[in-house]
Amino acid sequence: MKAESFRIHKPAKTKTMKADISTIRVAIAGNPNAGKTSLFNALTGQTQHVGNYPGVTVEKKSGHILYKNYDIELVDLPGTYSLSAYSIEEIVARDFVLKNKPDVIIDVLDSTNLERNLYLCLQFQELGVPMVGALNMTDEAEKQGLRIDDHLLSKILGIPFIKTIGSRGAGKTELLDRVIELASGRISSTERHLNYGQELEQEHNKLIEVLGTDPDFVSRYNSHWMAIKLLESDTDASAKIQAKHRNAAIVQSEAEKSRTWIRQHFGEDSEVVVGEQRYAYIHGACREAVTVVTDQNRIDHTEIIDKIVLDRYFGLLIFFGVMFLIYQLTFALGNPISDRIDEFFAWLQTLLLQNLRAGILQDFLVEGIIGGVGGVLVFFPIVLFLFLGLSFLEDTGYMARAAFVMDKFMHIFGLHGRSFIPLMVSTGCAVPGVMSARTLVNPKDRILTIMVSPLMMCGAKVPVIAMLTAAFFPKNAATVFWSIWLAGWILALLLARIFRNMLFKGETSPFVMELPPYRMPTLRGVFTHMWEKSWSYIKKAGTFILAASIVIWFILYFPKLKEPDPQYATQRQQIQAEYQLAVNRLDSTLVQHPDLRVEINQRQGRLAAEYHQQLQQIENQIARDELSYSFGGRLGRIIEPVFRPCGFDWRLDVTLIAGFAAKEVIVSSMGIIYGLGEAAIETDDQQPEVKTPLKEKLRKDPHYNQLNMLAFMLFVLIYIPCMATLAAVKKELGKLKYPLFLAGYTLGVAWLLATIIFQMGKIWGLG
Amino acid sequence: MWYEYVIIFSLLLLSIIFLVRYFRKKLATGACESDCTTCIYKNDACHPPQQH
Repeated sequence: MKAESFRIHKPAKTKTMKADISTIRVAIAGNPNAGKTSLFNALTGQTQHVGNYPGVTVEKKSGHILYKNYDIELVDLPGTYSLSAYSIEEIVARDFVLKNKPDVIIDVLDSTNLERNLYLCLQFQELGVPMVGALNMTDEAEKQGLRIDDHLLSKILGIPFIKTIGSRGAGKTELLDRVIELASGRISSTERHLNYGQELEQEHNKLIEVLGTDPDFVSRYNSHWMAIKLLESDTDASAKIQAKHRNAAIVQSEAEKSRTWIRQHFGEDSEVVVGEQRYAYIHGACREAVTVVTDQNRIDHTEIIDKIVLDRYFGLLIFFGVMFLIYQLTFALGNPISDRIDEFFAWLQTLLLQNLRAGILQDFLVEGIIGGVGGVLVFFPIVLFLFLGLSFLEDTGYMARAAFVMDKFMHIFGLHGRSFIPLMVSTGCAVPGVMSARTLVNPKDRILTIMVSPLMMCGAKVPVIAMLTAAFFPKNAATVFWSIWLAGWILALLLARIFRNMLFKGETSPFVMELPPYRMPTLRGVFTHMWEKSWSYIKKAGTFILAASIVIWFILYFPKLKEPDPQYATQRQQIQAEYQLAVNRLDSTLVQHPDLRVEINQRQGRLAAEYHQQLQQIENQIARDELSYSFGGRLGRIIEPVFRPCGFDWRLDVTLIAGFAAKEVIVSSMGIIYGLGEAAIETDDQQPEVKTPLKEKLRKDPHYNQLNMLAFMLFVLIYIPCMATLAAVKKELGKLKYPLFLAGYTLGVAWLLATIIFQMGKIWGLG
Repeated sequence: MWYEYVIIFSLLLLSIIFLVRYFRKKLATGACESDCTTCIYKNDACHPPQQH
């Protein structure tokens, strides 16, 4: 490949652009999972998210490159199979081409599925925009024995085709050369009309004639393309004509007549006849330009793996098993690092206790900042490894299989097969999960999916669940963690069934899932995705969690008790007196029996330890009284009776309220509460005691056990989604009643389930 | 010490301002992190068109 010089740059401001640099606007379009984003990244040097998973591009991304004195702006469009007005991606891609009129379209075609990909290519050609076809993933096509004659294909279809491998950047210089040639008019791939056959052409020409009665409309829209769209009963084209054509009524009536005539003549709807004609043409072109070389020894790995993972029954087990493995690995690799970070923060707290003057600033830094933010950062390795596993799965192409396998299963519960994607996306964060439900065409499917997506274990719930499983189920933390994730799925499916029967009655629409070939993910790709997701965790800890921790610390620190209860002073004096008496007694024994020195020294040591423990208990009790007296403590006490049946004390209730802002805040508020509720007393050598990690504090707390912590984890999984998710739901569904319903039902279900678990567990003697 | 209170209350004030702005932005944009100029849904009813 020629070594051309590329310069990637940010969009240049008009003022600074040199006069001799021309700008070319290029749209990158193609079928889902054809490798558009890979090619976009290869051309621009960006690192946009690429997934071996249809529907990754939900935004229109753009980038610029400076190449051979041309400023080429590339716009990455979402993947579409056709230019009909069926899904939102199709309308978006089509509107971009129609309204923004790019100078050139790069149609990215998956060479392993050429016939299906050429369908979109033909429709772009009909739009009359100069186009170059990127025959992408040619390496995989060749492995499958497909030899594509790109020159012949170009001749047949009248479109220049270039072989590319997006993941490696192969063919990008030739592609850009062709783009420049097309934009500068040196070569052309102008509008070529596919001949739809005599009968269709006759009706088509009639419609072109009627459309031509409004010259303004024809100057804005390609009349050939509009006529075809009318024959295809395209609702969006109809709407455009209704709104913008001077003789809309006549055009609509003529279109209806033509459609009726075609239906009567062919015995099929006109859109089916148009589609069949296109496919027939494509099939012919492929027969000419594609040779299939059958290699008897070739092993199709995709086919072999698919036989197993797409099995009706095993497929489901494999999906849940794969996720089980990911959680096991996440814990096995992440937990030891997490523990070290936890120890580091405990050491840092101790260091500040030893070196800062005791007072409000010391409390603020130790409990508010380190306790709050540190508590969240401790779980960064777990989040990192979890996202590493999920990114790996996504990039291999397995997630598309999981969606396929889950399709039938999800239909049983009244969900659409495509709902799997928002649910899986919600495993990272519910906000993009809710947004990705836009790809569901049926409004009822969409609402239903949005209503259950927040039940997934998002990245923000991960630190809470990870900490509690590690603290209370240390031997099988990963299994419990995975079980909580599974509980989210089970609940989402069950509730979807209930809502479908009660609130959103209707049939689900059929689902077609692209099954891409398996690919070995590149290290760079997997690590980029992992980092994209994980970085937001650190960023959030340093901004939102920090600010929230400061506010929570304030609420839990003020107002201060003027005086501790006088009974504590009495108790302290009593303990000191008893201790002194015991020490004196041992001293006199030692004088009388010097031979018992060793035993007496040991007894003195034990006595001193007991004495300090008793003093620590009193100090802790004073600290807890202060915490209880604070604004937060008072609030916790007020709502405590509501959550008592779930087995939660007022401290857990306060963390749940704080968690409404964002679920990670539960961990940071726990760090503050259990830090403030534990007094740091000074020992005989005048050094404050070493701080214990949060997990240890929770484990040692007599109020908590496996039962109420299990109830708490499920509560956190289900109860009111964070504020950002509720805002996204409101925006997506337009009405306030939806986020209100979501908040209400999740709170109700969480309370009910936690109460059932806790009360049943108590009856069985588990609590 | 008095300066400790000054530091803490200043940070508290800054945190409150940050959180208020954060929540207002989330509510106004529907928690959308996208830049309107790159959003493929900009024809939706997110904002009046002139605000994109």
